[in-house]
Amino acid sequence: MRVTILILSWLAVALPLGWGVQQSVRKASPLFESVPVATQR
Amino acid sequence: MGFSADRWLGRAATEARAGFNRWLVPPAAIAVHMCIGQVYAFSVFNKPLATELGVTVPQVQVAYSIALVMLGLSAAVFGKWVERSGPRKTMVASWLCFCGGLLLAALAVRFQSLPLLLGGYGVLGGIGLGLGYIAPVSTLVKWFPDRPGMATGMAIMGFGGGALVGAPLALELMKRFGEGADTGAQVALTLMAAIYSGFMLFGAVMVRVPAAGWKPAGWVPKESESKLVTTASVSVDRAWRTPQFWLLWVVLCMNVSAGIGVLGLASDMLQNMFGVSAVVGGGFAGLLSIFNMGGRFVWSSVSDLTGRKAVYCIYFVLGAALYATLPWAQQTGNRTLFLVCTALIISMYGAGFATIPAYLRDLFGTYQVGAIHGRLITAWSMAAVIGPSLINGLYASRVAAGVPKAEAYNGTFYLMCVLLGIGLVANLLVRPVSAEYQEKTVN
Repeated sequence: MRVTILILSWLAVALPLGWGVQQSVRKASPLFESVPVATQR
Repeated sequence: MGFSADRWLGRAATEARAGFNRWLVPPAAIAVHMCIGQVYAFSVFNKPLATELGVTVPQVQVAYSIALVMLGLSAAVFGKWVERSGPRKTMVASWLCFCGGLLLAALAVRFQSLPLLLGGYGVLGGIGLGLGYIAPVSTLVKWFPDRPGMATGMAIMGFGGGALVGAPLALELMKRFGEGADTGAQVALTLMAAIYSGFMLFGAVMVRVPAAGWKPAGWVPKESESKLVTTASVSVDRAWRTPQFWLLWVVLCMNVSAGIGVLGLASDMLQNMFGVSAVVGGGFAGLLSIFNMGGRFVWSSVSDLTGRKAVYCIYFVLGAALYATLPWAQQTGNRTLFLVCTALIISMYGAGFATIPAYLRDLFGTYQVGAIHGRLITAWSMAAVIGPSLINGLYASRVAAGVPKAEAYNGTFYLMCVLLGIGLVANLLVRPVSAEYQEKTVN
């Protein structure tokens, strides 16, 4: 029971934080796409 | 049959029983910090709120500035109350203020009232930020005397993560509930208050304080570990009369000032320096926010191995070296080098926040570390207001002087080196706290 509460507690914060990180990674992805600078303007 | 708040919320009610697993406390701390960290994402409401209230974006941004100033002031003023009342009562008070502030901001949209926004989100919400910031941190420091850097890093990482969650959540809600002239900001703010209520109350229910004299099983404090680490106790009223307190105030203020400018200017900076699109510039801001969050945990955990003074030396020396590299990266068009340098700089900016409570605990003990931390946070408020003005002002003056936009940031980078240099000197001057400031008896 104690272990379950421990796991659920960590999941409660890890899931939203993980979602936030995933959103930021998605936002950052254009940085790593090898699109020529001239065509981005 | 009167309701006694202390029975449920007081310090005694949160004292852990024997056998309590201390690893249950970090999720409680992170939950609260993750919510109040939303303040970093307030900028996503700038345009919608300006449209709804019929005011300008800078007028809306005043709410953010007030919130940050109130964060520092409330942490400083209520720090002793926080220590006395315990983390649960403080977290509940933080919830009432912060989520109340979000609801008042929603009402401000309903009544098109800028003062309600400034008073609600700025003043009331800002008080919630201050209370919610210090209580979980001081609690974790007490639970993890063997790894205080890692413990404070976890909580303050949650604060950095709050922006990562708060921005896309607000945008998603506004997209879903906005229609035509309605930006959806009112519904988004109301729903965010509801969602954050769940997380903050979860934190308040889960949090516990260790019993007096509790120590982790098998852990023995190392007497010879470092002269800076004390087992004595210094009260908040005495701590802020010590030179060490003010040296750390300068350390935090310089560290924050040096990072906050880059964070705020990230997108524009990459666009102006490397001629990339706004989308790529936005991606850069996204990348930095991940490093801002991760650096809090990683560097702060490293400080448990290196010692706090040494790790701040790394932040300042490495930070200045990286800043000095940026103009060269721009001149040679080396975008990858620029990204690596700025990502590392921002990781150390976040780390500065995360490591400072452990540094305070080393110097002043755990007795009133939350209250001392609260007073030190005024350095952050100061840096948050002064830093961007200084950086924007210097950049604008360089552009006005005819310097090309791509090169106009170089002066700013060298200014950051100077700020970090001041921080380094302050850090090097830190010595153990004199015995005259230590408490003779502590309950």
